[in-house]
Amino acid sequence: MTYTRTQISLHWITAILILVMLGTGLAYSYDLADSGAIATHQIAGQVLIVVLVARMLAKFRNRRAVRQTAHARWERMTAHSVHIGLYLCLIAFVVTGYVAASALRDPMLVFPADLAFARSETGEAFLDTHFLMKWVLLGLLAAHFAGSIKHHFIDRDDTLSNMTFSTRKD
Amino acid sequence: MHRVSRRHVIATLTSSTVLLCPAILNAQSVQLDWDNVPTDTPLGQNQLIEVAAGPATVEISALAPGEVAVIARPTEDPEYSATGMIQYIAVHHRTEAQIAFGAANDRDGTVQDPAYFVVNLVCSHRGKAIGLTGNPDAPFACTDRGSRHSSVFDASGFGVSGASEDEYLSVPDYTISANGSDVVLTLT
Repeated sequence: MTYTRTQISLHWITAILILVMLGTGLAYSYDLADSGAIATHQIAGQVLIVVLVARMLAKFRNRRAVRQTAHARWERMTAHSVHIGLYLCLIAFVVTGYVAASALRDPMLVFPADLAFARSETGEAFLDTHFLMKWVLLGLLAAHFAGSIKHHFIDRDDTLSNMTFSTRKD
Repeated sequence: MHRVSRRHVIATLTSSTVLLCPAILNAQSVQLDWDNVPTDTPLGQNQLIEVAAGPATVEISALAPGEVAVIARPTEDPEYSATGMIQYIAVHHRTEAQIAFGAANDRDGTVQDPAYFVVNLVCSHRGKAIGLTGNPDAPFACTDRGSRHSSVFDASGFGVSGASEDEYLSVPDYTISANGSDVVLTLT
């Protein structure tokens, strides 16, 4: 039992989108790029919303997918927590970012949120949260990478290969 | 089993570091002593004139060159949500140097009398109040000085740095008539 090809594709599309989001978001925040960066950030963010919804649908349809029974209990618990954390973090990211972007004069959004709400104190708090949350995401990603590297190079098991398109043993 | 070589890991780590390095460099321009000023109201104006909602007529004859009068008018436009639903309008009586700058840089149709620049004090980024800096080259700046805000505008309302770089401040519908020393602004 393993991930479907759809799930694997969606995983790597998410990875690329997160890199695009981090690159454009940080470049804009730190004044290293002009407003083209924030326009890209908004468009990639909306693609990310679609991808996240598709991932969750794919996950619920293939719920029995990966049962890494070979792994220790603490490993499964940790991996599971980090995965849930990543999902929640990304959902929080797109929600806060979407509302924050709605406050712009010319948002590049399909359905911008209400301008009065987006420019309220709450809307501003959403932007601050969006900004602070990159540390949470970077922490979770570090754990995610550390886990995959440990399984690949130290345990030498199939954990990372389960998420690639390479020929699999099963 | 698919192999991820050491070279792949090194390449990935290096490229992520390059991507994240913007966080280390934080470019800042135009230093203003505006830490923690309110962001819902302008500051630095020479006159504050409060008018009722709707069309208004304001007399600004006493405004000297280089000075700024701010008109505060209640509005229903959600564009002004971050300034307490009040439209703040600046009337900047330009100096000779600023009139020359305006002649070269003003957008067509935004200035009726080259000596007076009338502009909405709402940031083109997220609608915070714009303050008056007293700097003749950059008279307007966003009151939000956070790292991802900090817009600064020149005498034609053009964003020269910060989040609103390359964007113009909006201009209200108005007419201005200067008869000798009598200067009257009408907002429609």
